[in-house]
Amino acid sequence: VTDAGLAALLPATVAVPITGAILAPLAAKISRRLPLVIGVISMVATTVLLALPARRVFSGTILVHYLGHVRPTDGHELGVTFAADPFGLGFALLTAGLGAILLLYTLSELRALGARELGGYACLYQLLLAALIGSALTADLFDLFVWFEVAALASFGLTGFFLERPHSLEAALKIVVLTTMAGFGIFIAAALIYSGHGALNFGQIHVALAARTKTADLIALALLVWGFGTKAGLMPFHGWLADAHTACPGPVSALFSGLMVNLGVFALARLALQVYGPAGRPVLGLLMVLGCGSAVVGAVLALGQDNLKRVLAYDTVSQMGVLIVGFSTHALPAVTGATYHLINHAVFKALLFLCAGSIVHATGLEKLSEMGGLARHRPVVAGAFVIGVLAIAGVPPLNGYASLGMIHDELHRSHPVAYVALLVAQVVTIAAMSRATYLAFFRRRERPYDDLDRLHPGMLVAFGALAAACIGFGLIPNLLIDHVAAPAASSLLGGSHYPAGLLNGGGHVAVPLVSFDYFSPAELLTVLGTVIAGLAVATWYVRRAGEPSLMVNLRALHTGSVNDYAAYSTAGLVIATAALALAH
Amino acid sequence: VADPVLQNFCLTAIVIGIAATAVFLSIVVRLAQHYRSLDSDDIRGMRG
Repeated sequence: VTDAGLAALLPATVAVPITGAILAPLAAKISRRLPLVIGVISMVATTVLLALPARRVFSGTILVHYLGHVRPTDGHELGVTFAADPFGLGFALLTAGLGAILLLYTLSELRALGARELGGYACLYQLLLAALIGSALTADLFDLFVWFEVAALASFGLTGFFLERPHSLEAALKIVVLTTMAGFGIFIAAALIYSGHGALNFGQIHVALAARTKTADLIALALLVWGFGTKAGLMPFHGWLADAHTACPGPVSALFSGLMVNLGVFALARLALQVYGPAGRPVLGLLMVLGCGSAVVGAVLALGQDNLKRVLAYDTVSQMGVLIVGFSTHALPAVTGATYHLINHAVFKALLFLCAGSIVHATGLEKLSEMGGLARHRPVVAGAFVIGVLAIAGVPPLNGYASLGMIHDELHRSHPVAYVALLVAQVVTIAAMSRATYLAFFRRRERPYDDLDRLHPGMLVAFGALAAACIGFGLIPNLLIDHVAAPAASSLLGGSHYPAGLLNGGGHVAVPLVSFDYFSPAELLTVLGTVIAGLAVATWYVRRAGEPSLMVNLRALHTGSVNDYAAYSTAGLVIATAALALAH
Repeated sequence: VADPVLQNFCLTAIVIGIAATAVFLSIVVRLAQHYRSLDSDDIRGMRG
């Protein structure tokens, strides 16, 4: 098959899930579970369609398809363009594959819901997945905005899925307000860039910015940081994240945390490194600050939560910070590590949220203080949860070890302050996760649980597949580093290779060799040190009565009012804009 | 001649805006039924 033939398949990878989304509510009229079956089939088909060009793309080819054959003339391109580079295709494949597993899990867990609910659920779920794949493969700023909004609309519906519960509505209100503000920022940024350069295609924007960068372009970049930073849940734009993850069903939290927030990180990496490139260099410092802040604040907040899903949600804020720090180093090993960690985080966080969701679903309990002793009642879930926690903690041979190690190594060399911040965040993260594991699973509980629903086969398959991925990606890390993460990082840092490819109907990026020393004593000692320190902090926190004043103050800032969250977000935008405009 | 791209731009944004507003209003109606209030400062069951 020729490159052009493979590229022509790219629009189909979005069309298939959208078709599935349209069919799902109709299928609900025939059979209650049919919508979810359609969802699983459409996501498996999408994964296969994305896997076809994978070999070519991960060996360094950039595939470009101009919809309706509207080709660039004189370096101008305003048509709808789909392009697959290693970075985008990696994210798209992850989305489709994980989406299939999560829909299979839903089919098993939420089987008791009514036909209308399951139809709507399968529709919105596939729509969100389609939007994520579209964002990964688009080569146009305005299309990226449209995909962002499609993802946003689908996420509003999924957040408020339990319409009869006040908490779901409250969470939906917060995500609607903050995400709509973010979408407005992206729209204005696209308008600023178009009015300044007449360009919307990433390649054309890159060329125009390389020739001349105006202050308006950096203000547009600040707006983009605001917009996608909100989606990524970066502090101070993260007000919606914990509530949305808490209120929705488990598989939806897994989708949000594993894939949707990654859209923000993905788009920031693409815009800052590939599209703006040298013109946007000042933004890397800003992202480094936002990333370190999110990593530490998210971890501390996770430690203080009593709600199991909120622990995981605030940990997502922390992990997104780590990813952003990795990408903003602009160094090949760390960007490779960040890409690899993005994949790893999606896998282990999806696993953890499925575990948490299955417990909430089976027991009706959400609070850690009411749980306990679940290791005896739910050994499979406990095992899966512990694997996820060990992966987050970066314990070898699980998958978090290599990816965190690659980010930490580079920071140790070039950014000592960020290195310390991430180590602190890592210690507190380990403390938060081990505290939650102890309280939910291993603490003695006096009262027995009411009869717990048994685990259904689809749930076991999902737990097994994700846990196996955590272990497998860790045991053979070179598979992902050499064939996915390193080419993706090379595409991100490859200067004008990707932008030029977009305007030339295809191109190539180099496939570098990135090595990581698995048995280096420094790495192993760092892990050992952070784990011991984390366990010590967890023990101290579980034993002490009452919260430390830092925690009280930090939690008091999260007032729960969407007005306050919007104010924080806007203040963050003002600071980001000022920082970038002054840096110009 | 007006730039057709800009018109397309604004039309798309309007359509998306209407969709978002529809979702927003339907949530507000439900919230008003549950909380008996339209002040978003009153709607803060989840915090911290």
